[in-house]
Amino acid sequence: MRKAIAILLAFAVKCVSQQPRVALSPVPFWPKDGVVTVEYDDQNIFYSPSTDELIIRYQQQGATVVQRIALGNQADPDYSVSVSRMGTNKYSYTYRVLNKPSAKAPLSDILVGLGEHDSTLAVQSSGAVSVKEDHALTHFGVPAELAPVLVDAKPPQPALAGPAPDTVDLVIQSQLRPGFVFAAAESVVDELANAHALSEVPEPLRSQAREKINSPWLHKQSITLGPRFGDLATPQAVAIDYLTNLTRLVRAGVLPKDSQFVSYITGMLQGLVQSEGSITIPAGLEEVLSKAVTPFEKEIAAALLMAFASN
Amino acid sequence: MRLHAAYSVFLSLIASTLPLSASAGTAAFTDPAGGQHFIWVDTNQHIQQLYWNGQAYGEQDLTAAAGAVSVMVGTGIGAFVDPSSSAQHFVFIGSDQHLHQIFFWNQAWGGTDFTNETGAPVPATGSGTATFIDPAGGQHFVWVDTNQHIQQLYWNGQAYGEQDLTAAAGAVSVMVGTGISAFVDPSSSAQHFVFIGSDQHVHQIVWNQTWSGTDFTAATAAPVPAGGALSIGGQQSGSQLPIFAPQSTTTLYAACNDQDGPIPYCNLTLQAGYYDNTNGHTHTNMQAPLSEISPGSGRSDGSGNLVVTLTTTRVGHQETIYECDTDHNICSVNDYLVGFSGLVLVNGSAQAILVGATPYHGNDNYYNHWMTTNALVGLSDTISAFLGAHPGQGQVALNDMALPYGGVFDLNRNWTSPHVSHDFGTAADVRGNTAQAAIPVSLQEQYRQTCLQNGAIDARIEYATPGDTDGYVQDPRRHIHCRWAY
Repeated sequence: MRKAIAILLAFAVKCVSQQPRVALSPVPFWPKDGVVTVEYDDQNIFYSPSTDELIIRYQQQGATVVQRIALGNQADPDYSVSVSRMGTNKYSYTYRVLNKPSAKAPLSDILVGLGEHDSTLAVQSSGAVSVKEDHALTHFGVPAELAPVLVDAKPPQPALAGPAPDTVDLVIQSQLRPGFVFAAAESVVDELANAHALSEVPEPLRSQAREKINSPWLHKQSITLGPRFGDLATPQAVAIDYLTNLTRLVRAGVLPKDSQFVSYITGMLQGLVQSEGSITIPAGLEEVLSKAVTPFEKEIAAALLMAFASN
Repeated sequence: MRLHAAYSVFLSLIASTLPLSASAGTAAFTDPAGGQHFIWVDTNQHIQQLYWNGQAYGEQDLTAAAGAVSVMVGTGIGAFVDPSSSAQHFVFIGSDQHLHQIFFWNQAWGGTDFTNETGAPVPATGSGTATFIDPAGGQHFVWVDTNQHIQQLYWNGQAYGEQDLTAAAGAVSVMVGTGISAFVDPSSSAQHFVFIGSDQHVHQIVWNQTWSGTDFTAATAAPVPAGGALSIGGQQSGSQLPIFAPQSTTTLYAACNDQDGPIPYCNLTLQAGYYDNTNGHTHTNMQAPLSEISPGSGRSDGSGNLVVTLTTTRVGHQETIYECDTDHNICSVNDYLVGFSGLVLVNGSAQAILVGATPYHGNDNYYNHWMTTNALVGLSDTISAFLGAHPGQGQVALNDMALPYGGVFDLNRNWTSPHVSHDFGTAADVRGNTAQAAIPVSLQEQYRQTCLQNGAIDARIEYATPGDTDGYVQDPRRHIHCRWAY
């Protein structure tokens, strides 16, 4: 069995689960009736949003062959995070991920990307947990500043003949200050079936399909709060990162455009960025908690306070 | 530890059933009966062993046999056989970040959680391990702790001892992510512990009735270990977002979907936008040029697709396509990057300091020092060769390379580039003025030639003042520019 990626939205679950859904794809969408019209006759790779499959269609010995590769965005996670300080330069990030009854497949892994490497990292989960330093580079096509290190937590082992566990609890203790990081859930798909289907596909189509399987837009992706900034991150870099991700959340509708909290912290952070390094603590930082209204805004406010506390 | 060539032959033969972990270490030993043991970590992070008795191979999952925890990703393994008992020992960092051993003794498998049992310092997440037996029969288990100190446990058959070897020898700490090795010299009984220091030098700590250390790199002028004059900063540009090259055209498919799939003949609108302050562009004095999504509106066809084209500009930064199903009044944002994936952050070193940060580009040298790996190798080799030939220079100052995803490097914060060859991560400037670590005018031509000798396809001494070509005007913008092909 292979774990496929179903990216979860930490606080944007409503957006992900909305139907109908408007989407953008690097390959054509597979038609509802499965009949490929003439204008797509030269296309070999499609995406089926209803079944979450990459569909590879090609001619072989005069016949049309259709292979289906399950991507596995079948978990429907409900996800929460809280961040707290643990003494000097140490933070605890507590995640609870519940796979909702509407999920089409059980959770197999929860992934949280760290913003940087952290030699003091400690992780604990209700099931097995591991730290994957290179995983992000190869598996998601996600190098980089959002996830150079992934913490991978699995659900607890199911009882014999019992149902698959639907909750993963994960605690990450890190010296990295809080910011927005990449988070994901993987659900279970049949790896053998996928491997078999792919092995049947002739080259170069097989390689093209592999590339599309990793296409980020074919996986629901988002951001959450998590371990983000090391000692070397400047106040300006922290502010820029928060500004970018707050903009993303507003554009995605997760945070309302008319939120007074968002207006307040956006102005505050822009002031720091535009100071060109002359200030290191945003003016008005002490007020952010009082400006937050919703639980999510309060989490962001608390994270922001901690992110600037060391500067 | 690298996979030995001889082992790799037969390991590759069984790769289909026993895949190697991407970050697996290997170990090997010969048992008292002459059996050869080859050990590695599989993709389930289990320790696997092949043994060869001269006639056939046998294979075992040692983690399963001993009921042990799995191996932490990115860590090494060590193994040895104790000649006094013929017990086989396999040492590793567990997924619980504890130091463990699996042992085979008296025909039975067992395990030890050293960290629990001894309270020894917790290993670093990327720690290597090393093991040996001293002439008195003491077993030594070596790892790197979370302070990047080398720690040692030894077992004399009755009790454990634990030591911080870095502190004992007053040595530098271990470079993050590097391995360690250890051995005992039978002629002197001296114990040697070899590692890459945080100063990027090869070091050893030695126990020969007292603790001492050697900086091999300084003592022998041996080549600097991996990375040369520069090292990759542990980050690579890119993200979980799709990335499209600057000035490229890409076909995309937009759709309104319900639970059964794409809805035919659905009305859609699409609009491109960008995010401020991304890719190091911290100037907002004027609007950036905007990539185009075309058409900006339309109806999906009978299959449910609206075919659109995204045409990017030369600017590398984070953008989005705001897409709306106007029949159902539902919208989504589709973020992506414009830029080049695969650029790596260049770390400075004692030989090459990073300079050139400006408020318009993050006010931090993090943002202006990204390169392709090929160009980085060329630059690193250039600096090593140049400083080797001119030891009095001591160090050079590295100015602009590229922004994290490349694209326009607009020194004048106007979204156009006087710096066009820095758009791709293939070029690097070094200081040629009078500031810290600048290469003096008298050596600039030698540096330029060294670039060309190390693969650069273009190398020139550049001036800010037109006509300033005499080589002796102390122009503050003077630098030497080298560019590689890719």
